[in-house]
Amino acid sequence: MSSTPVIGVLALQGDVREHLIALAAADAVARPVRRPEELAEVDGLVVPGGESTTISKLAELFGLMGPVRERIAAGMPVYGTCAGLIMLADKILDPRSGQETFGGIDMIVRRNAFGRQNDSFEAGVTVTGIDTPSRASSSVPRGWSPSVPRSRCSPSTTATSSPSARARPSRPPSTPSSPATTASTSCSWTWCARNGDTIPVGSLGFVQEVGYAKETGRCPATLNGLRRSTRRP
Amino acid sequence: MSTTPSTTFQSPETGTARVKRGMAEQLKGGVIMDVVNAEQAKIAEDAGAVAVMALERVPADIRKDGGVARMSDPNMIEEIIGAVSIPVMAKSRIGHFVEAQVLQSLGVDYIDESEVLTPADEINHSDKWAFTTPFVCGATNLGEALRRIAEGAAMIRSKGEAGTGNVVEAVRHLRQIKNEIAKLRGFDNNELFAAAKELRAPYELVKEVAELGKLPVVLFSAGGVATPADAALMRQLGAEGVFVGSGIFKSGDPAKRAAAIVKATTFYDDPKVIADASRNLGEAMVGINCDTLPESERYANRGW
Repeated sequence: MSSTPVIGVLALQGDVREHLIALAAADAVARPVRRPEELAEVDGLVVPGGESTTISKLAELFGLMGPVRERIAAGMPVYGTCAGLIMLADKILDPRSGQETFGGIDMIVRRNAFGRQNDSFEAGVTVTGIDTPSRASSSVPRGWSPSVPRSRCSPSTTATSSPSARARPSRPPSTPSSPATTASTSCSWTWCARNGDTIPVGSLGFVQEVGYAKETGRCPATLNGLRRSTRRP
Repeated sequence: MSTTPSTTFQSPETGTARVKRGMAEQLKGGVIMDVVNAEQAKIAEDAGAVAVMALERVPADIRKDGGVARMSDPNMIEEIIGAVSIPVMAKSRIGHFVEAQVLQSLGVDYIDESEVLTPADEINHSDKWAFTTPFVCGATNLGEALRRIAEGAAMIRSKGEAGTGNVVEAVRHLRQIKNEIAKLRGFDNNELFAAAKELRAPYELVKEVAELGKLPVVLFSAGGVATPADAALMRQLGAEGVFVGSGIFKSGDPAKRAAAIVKATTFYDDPKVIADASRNLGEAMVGINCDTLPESERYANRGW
């Protein structure tokens, strides 16, 4: 426990640089992961935002799908933002045909639940457990109102997994089951950790709740670092 | 562990600069491929493309056929949208804001106000702030990039020379943009005003670039990428991703070449992977030497 854990950032496509910067700002040792050998050298993995169809395709093409699943099943902590959320869901609705995820979190995510790019929006977000309201963007249809049950949106924004908290040994992750966490309609954030003053704060609430911190004692620093470093002057 | 965090949204706004620019952020590190039908779009998606550009003819054919190149048939665009789950982009002519309105109404995810099509207005580009659909525009230098961003572009691609299969202009334009950004970094506040005047770009944007050391939007490279090594070259030169137009579907084995270019884009700093990706790809597109192109056929000169 004395040596600093190494956190990998899945570097197939998407917001790789931003997550590496955020982790470094939180004094984590962070490095990109594109190959199975690189995965073997990290203690935890961040799956960044990006295009989820592509990330899943590239994970298959470059031989990472199996190894990442195995590591998650074996207890490696993982953290997902945006497309990373989709990749960590045990089940996705409306996937590309045959689209696979890493899984690890017992929840369902619906891709593009609220429409295409034209329907994407930004809004103020207040999340229980986070002091300051923040701006975030998501894909929600025009006319959608906050009267939608709150629980539909919050947990799905991003996710983390640790073996005792959520991950079950039963694979494959895409097996339709009755998920304990029904994060069914995704507010899949289209805004990831850069260019603004926030990362999707809903995710932080969920991460804190799931208990990566409880497992390792490292989480709060990382999260605070993420929040701090994504603020811009 | 039992309390569910609650989330509330206040006054959602669509089409903001952040939402539009954020869309391009998702595409970083990826390859965007020109496709002319649903079948090609599927091949691109299966190869790991991050988005497709729906157009009626790839630039190489536009060059060959001549005549006026316009927005594509809405049926064709809709078929492509229906065929893939990755984002779909489509091109409007420069200044043809009605084509852009049509594309927005079709639900495309990004509009490319493109010099590859015949310009509809030789003075004005479209007002891109007027749209909820984000725009990508080409640029040959920093001033041009910032003028497009000032007009509302949410993503920039260096222009290169589309439809040539020759990467020389892509390199020239990307280097030009990166060099001009590097120069700005060295300027003090007094110098930024004159720099803005010289760049013919808004001072606020020039100042932002000087502070960030990069454009305030994602920068891809386009125009002439035909091989895995070309794509990796553009990434090593600082492009955040690449557009590949004619290079894939004018080649001998499009599916294989598409996958190879994607792989080289992801592993752009690993020559061994690029070497493997480059093996037995079949014939590359023939290519054109750009210095033999008459001025009137240089697409990069369109837009200003």
